[in-house]
Amino acid sequence: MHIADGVLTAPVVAATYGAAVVAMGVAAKGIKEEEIPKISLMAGTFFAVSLISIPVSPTSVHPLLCGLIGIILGKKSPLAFFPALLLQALLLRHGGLTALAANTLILSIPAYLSYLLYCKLPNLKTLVRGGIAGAVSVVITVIAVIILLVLSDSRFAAGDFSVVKIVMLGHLPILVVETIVTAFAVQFLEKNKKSWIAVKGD
Amino acid sequence: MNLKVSKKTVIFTCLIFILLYCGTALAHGMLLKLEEPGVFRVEYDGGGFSTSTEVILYDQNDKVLAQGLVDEKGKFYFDPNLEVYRAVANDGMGHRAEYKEGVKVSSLPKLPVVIGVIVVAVAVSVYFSNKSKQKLKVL
Repeated sequence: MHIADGVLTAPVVAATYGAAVVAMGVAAKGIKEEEIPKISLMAGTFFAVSLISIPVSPTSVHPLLCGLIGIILGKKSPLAFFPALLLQALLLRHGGLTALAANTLILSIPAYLSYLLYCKLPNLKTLVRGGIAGAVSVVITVIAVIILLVLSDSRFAAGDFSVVKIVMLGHLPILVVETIVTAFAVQFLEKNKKSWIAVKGD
Repeated sequence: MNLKVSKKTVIFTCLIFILLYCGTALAHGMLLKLEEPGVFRVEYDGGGFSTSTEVILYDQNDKVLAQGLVDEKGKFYFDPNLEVYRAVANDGMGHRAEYKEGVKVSSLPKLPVVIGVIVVAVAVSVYFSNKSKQKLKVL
């Protein structure tokens, strides 16, 4: 789910960089010192976890953790994704620098929407809320990737080379894994480390 | 620097890294290698490949010499007499790899990089955690 250099067209790169700058600005606004530990740990976690390769024929996918990171960081999620993606691109050539903003957005938007969804479902059990947020985050990430790729090259949407088909099928196992991991991680946090869950308005 | 952190924070931090990083760390960037004259092989960094990967071969003037999908072994066969200067593989999922004649691609070993990044992330976290705790104590 890391778009490489040379895949996106110049207008898409420019638009995503513009949007990412706004997202980073909003995220950094009013940041408190006590939030930095969470952001730093989430950046490290994402860096490591998203390097775990899961071969799913006909492709290979990796965990995203957007839902969990979104529930923990709220609108500050881009501050964790951006440095992690930057380091992955610079150190491991995993994702491209021209696509850095796009990659940041396709993770940050689902993360924030998952957090909103988590806040909007107060009547459900924590486990269920976490699971739903985790699942929805994967779906939104996949949709975001498809939109960006199709905007760059309509060929991605056609025939056997259809990115829609491959990305959707490839991420079904990730959807299941993320649902379970997010559900249990959020339940663990609610019980043991409630301060780690982003409060409304974060 | 005071490195006192609560037990819960340490346990939670360790748990998050151990539970979520229990597999082999392998990025799935994509690689395009000239296996032998007339044969390119496409592979994800973590192993495997997508049969939807398209390979395009270019000459020095960026003219397309050949293009097509890889076979069931991740290989793309072409006429070895073609003067390929550059080749691009694209799996249609955002992964793209490039081969350039005479250019050797080197990459850092992953495990030390991952461990290094995690150590830095934890160190930053501990530092700011302590700093904010001290601030609270002063208040």
